[in-house]
Amino acid sequence: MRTPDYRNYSVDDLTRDEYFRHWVIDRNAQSGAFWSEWLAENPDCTDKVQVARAFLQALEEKNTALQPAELDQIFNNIVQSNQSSVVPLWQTTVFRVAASLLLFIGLGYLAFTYAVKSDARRQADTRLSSLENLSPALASDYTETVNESAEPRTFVLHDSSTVVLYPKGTLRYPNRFSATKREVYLSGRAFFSVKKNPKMPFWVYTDQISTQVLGTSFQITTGETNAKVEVRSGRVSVYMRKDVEKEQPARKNESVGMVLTPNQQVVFSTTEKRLVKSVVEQPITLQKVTKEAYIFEEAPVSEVFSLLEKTYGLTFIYDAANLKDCYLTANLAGESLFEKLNLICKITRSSYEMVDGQIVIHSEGCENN
Amino acid sequence: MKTSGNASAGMDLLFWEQLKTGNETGLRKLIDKYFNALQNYGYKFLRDEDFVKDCVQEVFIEIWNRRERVAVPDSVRAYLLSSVRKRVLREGYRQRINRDDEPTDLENDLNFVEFSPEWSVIEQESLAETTKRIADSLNQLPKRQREVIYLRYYQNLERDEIAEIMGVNPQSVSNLLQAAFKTFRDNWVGFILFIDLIKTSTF
Repeated sequence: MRTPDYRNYSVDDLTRDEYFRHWVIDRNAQSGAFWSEWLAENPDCTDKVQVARAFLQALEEKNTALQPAELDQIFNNIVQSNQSSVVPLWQTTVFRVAASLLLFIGLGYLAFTYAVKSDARRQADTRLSSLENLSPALASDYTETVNESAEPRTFVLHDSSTVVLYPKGTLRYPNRFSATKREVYLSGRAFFSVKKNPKMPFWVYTDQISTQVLGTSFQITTGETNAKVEVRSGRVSVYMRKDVEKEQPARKNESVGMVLTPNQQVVFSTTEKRLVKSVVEQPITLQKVTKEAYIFEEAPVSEVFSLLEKTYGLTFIYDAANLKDCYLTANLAGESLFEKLNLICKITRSSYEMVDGQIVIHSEGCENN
Repeated sequence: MKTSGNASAGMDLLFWEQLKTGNETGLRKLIDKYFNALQNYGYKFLRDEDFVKDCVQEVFIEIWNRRERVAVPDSVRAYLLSSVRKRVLREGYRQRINRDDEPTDLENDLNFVEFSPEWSVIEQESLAETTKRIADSLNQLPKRQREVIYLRYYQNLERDEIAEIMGVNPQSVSNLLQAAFKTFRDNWVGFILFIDLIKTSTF
């Protein structure tokens, strides 16, 4: 892509630049990545960019952008709209009748959920009482926050670790960490960037699993019947909650935990009651590799795999002898890991599968190529 | 090219022509491209997201149902913004009458609002601070100047488009914008913004 010389842009120019607007107004992640990189390279332009961005945000006030699914719904409404129904909805008799009916049904529903809710509350109480056994610090002097807004919120803990709590998530943290470990409790989804401190391991408890780290970044999502941990950097150990409760962390080295490295995830399902390790849906690159490095000309395919291993931090398992005659000529820059794998497999007549968070390549060899 | 308006406007006309022939793709593209921006504009007149969303949807319904008869506008985005503006003001007015609110100062009620940006992410404190200050200096402008600034910068419109939407002549748009720049000089944030804007403003 040709990049205009943004250094010469004024605030006025920036606010009218499509790519800039794509970042600030459309919240496009790719443009966002471009601009933060550009800012890192041109720190003297920070003020200008800041003013342009703040200016657009002040005018916007609130991000009312709809989800794609909502736009789908609106599109369907419009296409299916009746020719004559341009009368505003709230003026029609049908609407008024429907509204009173809904009110009636709604009251009934409220009465019903009230009964159900008190039941759920009782359940939550028992869950938390077992948390008390696990971590006294989290049961006595703590702060609990629920993100009721529609946008992720960032929290900075006392040890300067940060937690991005997604909407509807609950985070509980002690007002003071205990002397030996840092402990928090999560329900819902959150992304953690944990400050490294080998002397004080960081524990995240959820209703089903417990995650222990020394200093890394990772995301945890919990639902009614499952929980998932995805690792961005560093090493993370995940245990089933009942195992931690049983053995107490003193013997944790022997417990049935699972160690995860970047781009790996573990899923716990309540029904199966076990941890399953796999590769995350969208692996990210862990270290910068130039675009040129991805242009291969008659390269042994094992060389390609070792580059991918290095960039994504994932282990590739293949039979080197079998692949010794496989060579690759391709430009793999700009594709995701799975797109790259599909392409490589097509060219070398092989296939891949993911086993236990590793990538296994099956090949019949390339002798006839 | 710094102003990319032309290429995008050309695409809009293409979508519009598709829509006119009953092709749903054209409609879909215009919704994807403009629905959020139209909603943001409507929200400036009435602080009710659901109500504004309905209004924007109805603007599209009306266009879709009358597609064979609607003319091809000079600027599709200006036409859409102007339709949303009219509808939000009209329906908002009607809704209040139905609710038996005091009808006397309705006209003054439904006006371009003061900016009050929302904050939820604390990691960008300095950005929040700058935004707040800019909003404050924008709020010192009379409402018509505020609207011109909004349309020119947030909606990225040209002078003629703004004139069409606000129902004034293009020269008045230039005058409103110049007057806004003048008012900006009063406080330092406005001043910095002003210096930067005036350097390249083509109005």
